Amino acid sequence: MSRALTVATLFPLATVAAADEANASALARRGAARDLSVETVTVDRADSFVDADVYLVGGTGRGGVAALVEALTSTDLAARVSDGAVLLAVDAGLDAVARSWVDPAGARHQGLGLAPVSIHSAPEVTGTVVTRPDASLDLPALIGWEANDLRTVREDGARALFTLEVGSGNRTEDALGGTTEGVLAGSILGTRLHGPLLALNPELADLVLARATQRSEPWPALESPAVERARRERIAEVRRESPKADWRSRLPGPVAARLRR
Amino acid sequence: MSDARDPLRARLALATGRSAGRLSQALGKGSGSMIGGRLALRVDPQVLRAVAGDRRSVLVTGTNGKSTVTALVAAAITPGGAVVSNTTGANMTDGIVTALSADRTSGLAALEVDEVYLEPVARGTRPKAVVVLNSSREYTRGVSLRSTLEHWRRTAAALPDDCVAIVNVDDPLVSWAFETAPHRIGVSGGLYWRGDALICPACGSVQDFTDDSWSCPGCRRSRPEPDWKVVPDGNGWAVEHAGERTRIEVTVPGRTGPVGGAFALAAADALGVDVAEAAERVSAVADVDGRYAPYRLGDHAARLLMLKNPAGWAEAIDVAVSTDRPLVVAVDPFGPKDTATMWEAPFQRLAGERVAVTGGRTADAVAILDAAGADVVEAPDIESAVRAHAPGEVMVACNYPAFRRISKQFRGGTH
Repeated sequence: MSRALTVATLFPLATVAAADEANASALARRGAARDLSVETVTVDRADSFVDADVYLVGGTGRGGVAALVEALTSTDLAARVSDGAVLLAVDAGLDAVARSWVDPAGARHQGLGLAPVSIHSAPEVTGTVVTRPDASLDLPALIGWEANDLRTVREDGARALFTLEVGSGNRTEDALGGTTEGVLAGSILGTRLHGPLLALNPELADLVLARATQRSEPWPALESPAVERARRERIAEVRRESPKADWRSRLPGPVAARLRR
Repeated sequence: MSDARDPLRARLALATGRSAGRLSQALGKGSGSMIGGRLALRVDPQVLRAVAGDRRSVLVTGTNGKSTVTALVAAAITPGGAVVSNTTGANMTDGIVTALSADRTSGLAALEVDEVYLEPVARGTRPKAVVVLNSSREYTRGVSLRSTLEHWRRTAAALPDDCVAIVNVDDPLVSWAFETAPHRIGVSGGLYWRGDALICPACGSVQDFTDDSWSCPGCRRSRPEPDWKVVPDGNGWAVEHAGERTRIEVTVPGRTGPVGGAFALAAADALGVDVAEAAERVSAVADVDGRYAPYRLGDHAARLLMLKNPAGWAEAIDVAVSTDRPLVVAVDPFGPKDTATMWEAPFQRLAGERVAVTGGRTADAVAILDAAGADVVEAPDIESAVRAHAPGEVMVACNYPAFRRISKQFRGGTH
């Protein structure tokens, strides 16, 4: 018996394109393989907002965040999410649904407050990210991209979505000294990793689909050899090019900061 | 080159730029086409006005297809006199200063202009015509589509009174941005990428599209009637204008070629060049920077296309499907997100079709095409990729580094 899901991409034109619109078709593809029939919808205006099981909001840069907040505020997104709809908020989308965010001039603004994070300015980082496998979420090592000048502070003890092997992530101190990335709180997944994240990492698409269908047991194994090979090659490339576990990163924070200067 | 009539500051700026350009070439740092102009602009921000002088310029801008159409415009206006053009593709203010300062005598200019630099270039060159091809989001510089459109609208309003904006009326975004131009001429240039134009830029309503037109139910804007239109003509193409039909022969495959030709003829007409004569010159353009001339490989002929965003890939896919030619996808690495935007291109139009893949990012291209349901064949090199298809003409869709590598290889060998 096939279950029907609606995936809505919200206001993709409000922000700078981050190549993350392929996430919707990735959910449809993975859903089909999981016997779910996924309908994808793009919402461009508040009055075309739909009741969906998964909402995708993304884009990059801070120029469009104010417009995105305004557009999202006039929808039922908050109510839908509190009813259990899944929200994947990427980069500019994460700013918009955060409790507060900063514009390029450094001024602080309120976000929708759906994700328990606040956003702060930080030096710019760009590059390819490799996550560590996470058995609790049934995720292998994933690949993604980051390009931002922001620090993401989790609040209310919310857990991070990922820990990173390579990359800068949230840029907040973690109790265990690991590099964390994004936030996972209830049905909200927030991340800076933009681009076709779910297309590159079908297991993350599985996680979104599992949350959307309230599935608690793991999905049966499902290989997608072409995508897995592309990811394997990227991860190998990143490991080759990233400096061998930077010795500075093992020093206490203040010492490392002084040395970096 | 300096001119005795240049203000002293402009002369100093050009001398600085020239020596920096030579130094850059001598050090093997590049063609010197940007650094020279950049330094000259640093010394004198008005230097573009000095090097543009009183020549009659046509600017060509848009997200996709600028180099090709600039080459066609340069050809079309030659009956009007000698033409200078920034043929290296250095299309920001600095590159244009370099190109114009290297040739101070040609009375006409055909200039490719980066869409984000239209305002300063228009102010400096005071063009007779501005050709605007299309508009879609770009992914590398963090400039939103909205800010580019607003920049265009400002620029259009400030164009000189004797300047004609030649715009693609099939693109609602371009049409809106150039509403404010003193004179506007419409070309039916097609719209390969509707995705970014779904919402009316004026009022925010969802636009109504038909196969070849658009209208906005909110503010009642609609596609202006084009003054120049491409129509099928026997086994080729012609351009219709003012009741006249002019045949053009272009090597550029699909509709891209004749549409570029229509823009070029409209620009020639705006400069007072005879349209029939311009069409002959356009038809004589065999190749643009190695992009379109077919390369022979035994029983196969390969035509290269260079793509940089989903709109470009959508056009390449459209050419392959509409001309029933098989496709090779060639992608090489050029950074972390080198293949990211390809995931948004409509490769599902090739579902069930054989597509050969080659290049340093083969694994990514295979994953993307596999997800789209294509019958993917991997090839170790471009020759075997082309030969994975039946003899005849093959479209080779490349990203930028693969295009550089393959066109160089073909030129050195079998061309």
